[in-house]
Amino acid sequence: MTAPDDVRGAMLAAVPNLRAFAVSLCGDIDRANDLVQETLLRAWSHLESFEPGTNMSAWLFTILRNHFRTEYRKRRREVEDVDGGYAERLTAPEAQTGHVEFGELRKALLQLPPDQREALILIGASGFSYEEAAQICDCAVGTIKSRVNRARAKLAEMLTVETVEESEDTPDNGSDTLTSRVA
Amino acid sequence: MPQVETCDDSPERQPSQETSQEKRHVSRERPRRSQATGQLSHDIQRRIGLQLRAMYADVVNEGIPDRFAELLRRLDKPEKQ
Repeated sequence: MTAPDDVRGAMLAAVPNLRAFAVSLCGDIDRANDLVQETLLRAWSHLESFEPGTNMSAWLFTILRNHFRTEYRKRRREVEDVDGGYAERLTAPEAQTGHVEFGELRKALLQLPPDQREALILIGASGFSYEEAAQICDCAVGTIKSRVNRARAKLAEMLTVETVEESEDTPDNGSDTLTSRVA
Repeated sequence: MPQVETCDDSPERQPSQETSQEKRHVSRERPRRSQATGQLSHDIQRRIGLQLRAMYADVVNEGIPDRFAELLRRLDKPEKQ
């Protein structure tokens, strides 16, 4: 079967957002690209399950999210019993991303449980509604809300602690990096 | 399916990590926090939100790498070859 051009166009148009979502989830640009590629291939082979007229972007996000979680569980099983090396790699994302300017935030994001991380990104960065995010994550709207709230609280805690430590070390440079970057 | 949190695949390192962070938080941070209360936390949330979007936009702005355009072109003609 040949997909209509607008379906291909919609898939391609979703790539930048899919990549941003994938990087936020896994903290690794190469792995993110692989996730996106897998997502497009899966979507392509399951095009019949896409309902025309519905949100193509949300459908692709769902596929990517599910694929990431399957892979995450698999990898965790593979390495966690050995030496806990996975956790170490998770908390050292700067070297892997090439986007060093957001290193602290990425690091903090990766310390969140995956369900909170994905909820926060979908709502706080991807611009999905709570209803759409609930659909993508296959849970209730209230669950998404509580995950987002907990993610925000944890991030604030992690980044505030870092800020205090930094400003204690270097009093002259009292404004924290978060402030100076976004101000 | 229960409509409550199912943290089945949360990393197991989370609890212990949280504990140590909580300790740091308690010993260093609490006095400052209790003074500033809601305003500080609102401010922090705003900054986190801005930075999260900036980080995300950073990747979005890279556009569509060639490999994906190429991939979809190849998928375009599946069984014709």
